[in-house]
Amino acid sequence: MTSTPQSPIPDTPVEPVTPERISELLDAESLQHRLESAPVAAGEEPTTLVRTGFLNTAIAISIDGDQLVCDSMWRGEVPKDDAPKVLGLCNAWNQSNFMPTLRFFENSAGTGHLTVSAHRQVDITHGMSRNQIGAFVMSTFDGLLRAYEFIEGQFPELVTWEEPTHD
Amino acid sequence: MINLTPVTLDRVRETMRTFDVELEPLGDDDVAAVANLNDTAMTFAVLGSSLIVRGDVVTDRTLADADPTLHLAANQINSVTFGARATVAEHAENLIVRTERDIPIAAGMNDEQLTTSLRGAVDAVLAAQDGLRAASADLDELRKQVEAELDGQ
Repeated sequence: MTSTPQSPIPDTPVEPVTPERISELLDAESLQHRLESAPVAAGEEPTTLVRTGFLNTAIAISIDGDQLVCDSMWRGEVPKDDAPKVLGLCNAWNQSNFMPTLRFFENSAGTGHLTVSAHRQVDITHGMSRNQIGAFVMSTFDGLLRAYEFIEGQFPELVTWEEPTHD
Repeated sequence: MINLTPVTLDRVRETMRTFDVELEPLGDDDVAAVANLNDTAMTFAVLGSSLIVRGDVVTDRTLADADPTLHLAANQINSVTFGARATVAEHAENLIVRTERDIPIAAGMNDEQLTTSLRGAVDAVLAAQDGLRAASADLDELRKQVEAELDGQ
């Protein structure tokens, strides 16, 4: 990413951000995804999430009021005893990288463990152009992968899934 | 007309003036400018694809205290949607509570996007400082209660 906002593709006008526009972008980037209705309280407008992910993370992109939110969870399950370590790692990452934000929470699934999550959001009050959506989503994905690579480097034993081989 | 133009430090200073905030340039490379808002040292930096809005508050705690309260409070702030994230900066003698928000600028921005994003970022950075103070006070209180209970046993 450079500081000069020049793209080889002509940009579109600034328009409201919708799950469908996110989906079009992911299609153009050949990234598998699906639209999913998120549960809401009775009487509320149903909202739509865009779900996607990579081998080591599940990603949800949603519109929350005037924010476009990209939230993700790392696939690794951190034992609760490692809370001090993961607390230090999240803070270290957040100290030296302005995005995404790393955090962790207790997950009651199975025998209980800690889940590491990375998150970023952008204001969409006045809408966005296609290039603005693209720059946000693609740089956020890049950031999520870098953040989880950092965590995996510190918890190699928790990477229990098979990495694709590049021969 | 698309009308998205590059976000420069000049535009950031111009926009902050519309909120009656005058930013002081930091050095003369047009990267960062600072201001003091609500006892928070604010920095605005144009760094490649992002505009960073950051607030720093120096605490009376040091790393040598080996007290995780601030770090735990920061994780709490980061786990709810505050619009800004919190970290504990450990490079100085005293721990610094840092709250920040990044604004993506790689594809440029029009004036109303920049105005709304900057206002939202400044409000969120200051609100996250308040949130962190409240969360760490709650954690301190909780620890005192637990210690008192343990003493009473």
